[in-house]
Amino acid sequence: MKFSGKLGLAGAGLFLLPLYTVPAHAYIDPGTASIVLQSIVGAIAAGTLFFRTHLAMIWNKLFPGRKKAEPASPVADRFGDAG
Amino acid sequence: MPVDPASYRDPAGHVFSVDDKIYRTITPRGLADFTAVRGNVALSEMVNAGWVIDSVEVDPDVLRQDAPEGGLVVEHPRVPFISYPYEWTFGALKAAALLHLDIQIKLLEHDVVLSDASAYNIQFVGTRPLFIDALSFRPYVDGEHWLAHRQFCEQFLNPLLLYAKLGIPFNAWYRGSLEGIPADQLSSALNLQDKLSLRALSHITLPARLQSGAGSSVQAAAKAKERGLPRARYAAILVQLRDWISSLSPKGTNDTTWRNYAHQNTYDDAEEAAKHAFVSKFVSERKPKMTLDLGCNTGAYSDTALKAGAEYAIGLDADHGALEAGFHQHSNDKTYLPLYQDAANPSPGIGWHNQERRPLAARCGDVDAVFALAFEHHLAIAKNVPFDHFVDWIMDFAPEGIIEFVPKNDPTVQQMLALRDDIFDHYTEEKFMEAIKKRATIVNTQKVTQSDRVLIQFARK
Repeated sequence: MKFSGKLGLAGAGLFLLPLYTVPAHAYIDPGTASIVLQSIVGAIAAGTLFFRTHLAMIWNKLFPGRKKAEPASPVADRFGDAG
Repeated sequence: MPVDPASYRDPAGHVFSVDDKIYRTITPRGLADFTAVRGNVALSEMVNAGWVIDSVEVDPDVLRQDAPEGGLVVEHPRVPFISYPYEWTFGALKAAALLHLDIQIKLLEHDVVLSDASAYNIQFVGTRPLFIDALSFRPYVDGEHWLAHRQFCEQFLNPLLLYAKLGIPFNAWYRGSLEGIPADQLSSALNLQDKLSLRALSHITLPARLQSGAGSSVQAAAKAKERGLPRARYAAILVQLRDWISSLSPKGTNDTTWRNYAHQNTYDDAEEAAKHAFVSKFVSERKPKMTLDLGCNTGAYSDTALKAGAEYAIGLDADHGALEAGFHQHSNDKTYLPLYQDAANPSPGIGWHNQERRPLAARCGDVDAVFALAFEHHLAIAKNVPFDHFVDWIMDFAPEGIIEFVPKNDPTVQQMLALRDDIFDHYTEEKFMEAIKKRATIVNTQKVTQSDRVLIQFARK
């Protein structure tokens, strides 16, 4: 299982409470939930990214023959195939 | 001037199509954002790299009375063929999603954001996605949230997950729900493990839950907006989504599946070579610029047409596997566009006023030649479409082309009739030719298989 998957299961506990609340049937601006969650979602995503980047760097220093890919830099790749 | 029927939402400008040219007005409302970002280095690089459509300022008088007072008019290059997300393969929607995220990731570093996340803002030139809405860019405001996150999920992420996690192609659902697949509906379908992954919780399960939750969320959102979102977190959300989407493929497949995909057919190599030679000769002689291949499979006849001199080829098929393979096998090809279509139920005019997303036939004005090879029996036998109806439908696409007639003694037709009554008393080559002659001149014919399949080159009367 990928790291993010494991973290997901671990993080699930954090989120379980709102999952099983009874839904009120009031209509809410659909973007509202996204705005409310972005700070925590962004924080976890940033933490995961930081952790993965540094884990890959440490691994690559310890085992130079078995390099782990660091998180991709897709933007640079896409610019590379211009034309 | 004819304003594009899909261009009514944004008061910052509208798109006009005049004499084969595409113009976009920028009204005073959109002018500040447009001028603020137009000199941005990263955005210019994206235009040069073919990520974002070019915009060249022109004399507003080209639009006469529609020229915006106090605004600008820019001209865009024409996209060869307009397509919609519900016609795309999984690979195409994924490529469009990744382009959208790459643009966002890169531009955020240069203080620019996208104001929305509509999949309809992306078109395809061959299998390469192109961002076409020049008015979606605006300066980043420090601490702002990604306001289009929900729209991105509904129009890109959720349809991809539907196919990747559940094996359900998104096309039919997307066509019925033009703004995409809502989080709560997808969440209901996902299994528990998929629902509880960190990424699903972040972008689907929890937003869906909160969306249907108590009204206090409005106050919570107002407070969240007040606190602001650090730029690093905004960027991390984009990178996380990019990472996730780039790992997705239709359930039970991977990239190798498509590279090795080969369609099974009931004729041999020599027969197939004869068909390719017929297509090649037709294209060499008639020189169509744009071809339309109905029942395109992985696009082999479009390849032949392109090699023989056609400039652009569109392939339509209802087989998701063949289309996906075609998309992967033509990766980065700017001349071949494979699209999902059920010929018995082609894309209609839908959305606002039934005009926002145009019907398939209305977008085929530039098609010069149509191919319907090993295709006719899928409508005439499988869908009971009478020959006259079939011929009319084909000939509305283009003034000339090639149709293959598949006789009743052909193994494929025999297979189709094996478990049903043969009600097709008039299914003969003679009757088929009669139907064609009502609408067209038969220019050339050639038998191509042992079962007497025949290729018919026609020119519409």
